[in-house]
Amino acid sequence: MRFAVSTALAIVIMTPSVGAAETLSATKYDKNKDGVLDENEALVWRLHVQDPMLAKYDVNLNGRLDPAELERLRADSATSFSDRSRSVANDVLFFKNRKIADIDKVASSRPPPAVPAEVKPPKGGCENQQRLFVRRDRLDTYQYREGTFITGFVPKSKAKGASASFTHDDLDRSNSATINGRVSYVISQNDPMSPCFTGLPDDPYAKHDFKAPSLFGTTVALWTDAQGTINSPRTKNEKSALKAGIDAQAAIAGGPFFDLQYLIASPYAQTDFRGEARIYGVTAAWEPFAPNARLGGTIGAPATKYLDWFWQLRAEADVKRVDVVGATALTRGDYAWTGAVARLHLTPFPDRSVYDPFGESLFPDLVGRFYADITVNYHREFNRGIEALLWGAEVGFNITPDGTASISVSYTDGLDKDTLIKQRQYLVALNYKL
Amino acid sequence: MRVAKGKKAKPAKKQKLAMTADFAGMAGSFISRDEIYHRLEWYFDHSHNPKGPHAIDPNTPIDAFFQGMDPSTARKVLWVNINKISSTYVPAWKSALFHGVQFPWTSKPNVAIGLRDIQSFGNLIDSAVLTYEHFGWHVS
Repeated sequence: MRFAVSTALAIVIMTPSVGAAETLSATKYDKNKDGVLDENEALVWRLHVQDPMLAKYDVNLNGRLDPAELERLRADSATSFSDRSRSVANDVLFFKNRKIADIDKVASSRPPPAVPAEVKPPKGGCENQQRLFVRRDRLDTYQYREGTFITGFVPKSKAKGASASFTHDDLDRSNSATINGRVSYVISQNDPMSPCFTGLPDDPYAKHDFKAPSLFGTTVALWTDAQGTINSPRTKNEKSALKAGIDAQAAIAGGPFFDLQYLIASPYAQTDFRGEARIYGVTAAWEPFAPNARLGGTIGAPATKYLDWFWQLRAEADVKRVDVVGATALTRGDYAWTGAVARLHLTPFPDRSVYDPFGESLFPDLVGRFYADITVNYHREFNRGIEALLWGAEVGFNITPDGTASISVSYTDGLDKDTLIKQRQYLVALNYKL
Repeated sequence: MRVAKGKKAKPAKKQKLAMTADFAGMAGSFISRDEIYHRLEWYFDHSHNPKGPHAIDPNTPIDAFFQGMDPSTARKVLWVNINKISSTYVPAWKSALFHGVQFPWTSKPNVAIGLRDIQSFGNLIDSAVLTYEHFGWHVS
C-alpha cells in the first residue's frame, strides 16, 4: 500500500508540467524582500514555474517537498482519487470483464457522459415563458406540456402547424379561403415540470403517497380554433367551424390504476366563418397513462424483439346546443356526445440497442423502419340516438431512419361526429416531419 | 399502587415488539452500487439477468427509455411508476424492487438528484445511490 502511494506521488511529481504557469509572479519568491531575486530564490521560482504541483505544495519555498508537504499532497491525492473513482463507478461496472474488442466497439459510438441539468428559469424570467401557441388542432396543444424542460415548451417538432390558403379565380370572379389552425394563449400554468413552478416542498425526499391520486400541475388557456372554407360567392358545399373557448387542464399523479392522468374541461362558443352559426358547448376529456399496461406509452424494453406496441385512450364528452346552424352540417337543438378514441401503435423490429449495446440486432437495417396503427373513434349522441363509429388503419415505412420522411397507406371508414359526414376513403401520403 | 407481576410484564413485551417493528422499517441495510445498477436494469428490461454483466450503458440518454411517450410526460410517469414498485404493483424481482426507498423529483446539491433533472441512465444510478444513502442504507 505504501509502495503504491509513493509510486503515485512520484508519478504526480515527475509528470512534465503541461501548460506551466510561465506568468507565475516572482514577488513571493523574494524571501528577503530586497526587491531582487538572488540565485537560490530564482532557482526555486524557476522550479515552481516548471512544476505547478511543486509550486502548490512547496509552501516554505525551499524547492523540494518536505515530509509535511508530502503528507498534504498524499491526503489531497487520496481525496481526489476517491472523488474521481466515484464519478466513473458506473462506467467501471459496465465495462469490467468485457473483451477489449467489444469495449472499443461500444465505447467508440457511445454518447458523452451527461450531468444532471437542474431546471433553470427561462431567459428573461418566468413572465417571459412561452404562452402563445399556433398549431393545427387541439390534439397538438391540449396538454401544453414541454418536450423537454431544457429545450422549451410544447415540442414544435411533434406538433402539426396551422395552415391557411387563399384562392382568387379571375375567370369565375370568385374567392376562396381555407383555414385550419388553432391559436392558444396560456393565462395560467402551474406545472411542476416548468422551471417557473414553486409549489414543491424544499425537501426533495418529502414523502409522497403514490397510492393516492394527487394534483400535479394545472393549466388554463384561452384558444380559438378555425377549421373550414369560406367562398365568395357562397357555394353549397361550404362548411366551416370557428370556435373560441377555455381549456382548464389538471394533471393527476399516482393512484391505484394509473400513473398519470390528464383531465381537460373546455367550454366553448362556436360559429362559422360568416358569423351566422350560434353554437355553445363544453368538452370534457380524460387521458390516462399506465406504462405497465402499455397505456399511453412505455418505459422500458420493447415487448419482444420482433414487435413493440402501446396504446392510447382518450375518453370524451361533448355537450353542445345549436341555436343557428349556419354553414355547418348540424341541425338545430342539443347534442350530447360521449365516447372515446383508442389507438394501437405497432412497431415491428424495435430498437433494443439501448438495453444491450453488446447484443446483436435481429435485422439491423429494418430497425424502426415500419410502423402501423389502428384508430377507433366511437361516440354516441343520447338526445338523437346517433352512433358515430369512425375507424382507420395506417401502415407506413420510414424512408429515413429517423422517421423524418415516410410513406403511408391509410384507410378510413365511418361517420365523423363533428361533421356528421360519412367517410370511406383510402389515402396514400408522403409525410414529412420536422 | 401494587401491581401483580404478570400484569407488569405484559405491557413491557408489547412495547418492545412495537419498537422492533418501527426500527426494522427505518434502519436500512447494506447494498452495492452494482446491485442497484442491476435492479434498475431489471426495472427497464425484465429479461435482464441480474447475475450477468451489465447491459445498459450508463451514458444512455434517459429519453431513450421513453418509447412512445413525450419526454415531459414520461419523466412524471417514471417518477410515479418507479416509486410505486412493490411486490403487489409489479411481480418484481425479490419483492420490493427498490426496498421502499422513494426517488426524489427535484434535486438538491450533494443530497439528491431528482428525476426531473437526470439526463442519462448513469444519472439515474447516481440518484438511486444517493436515495439509498439518504434512507440509511450503506452503499458500497
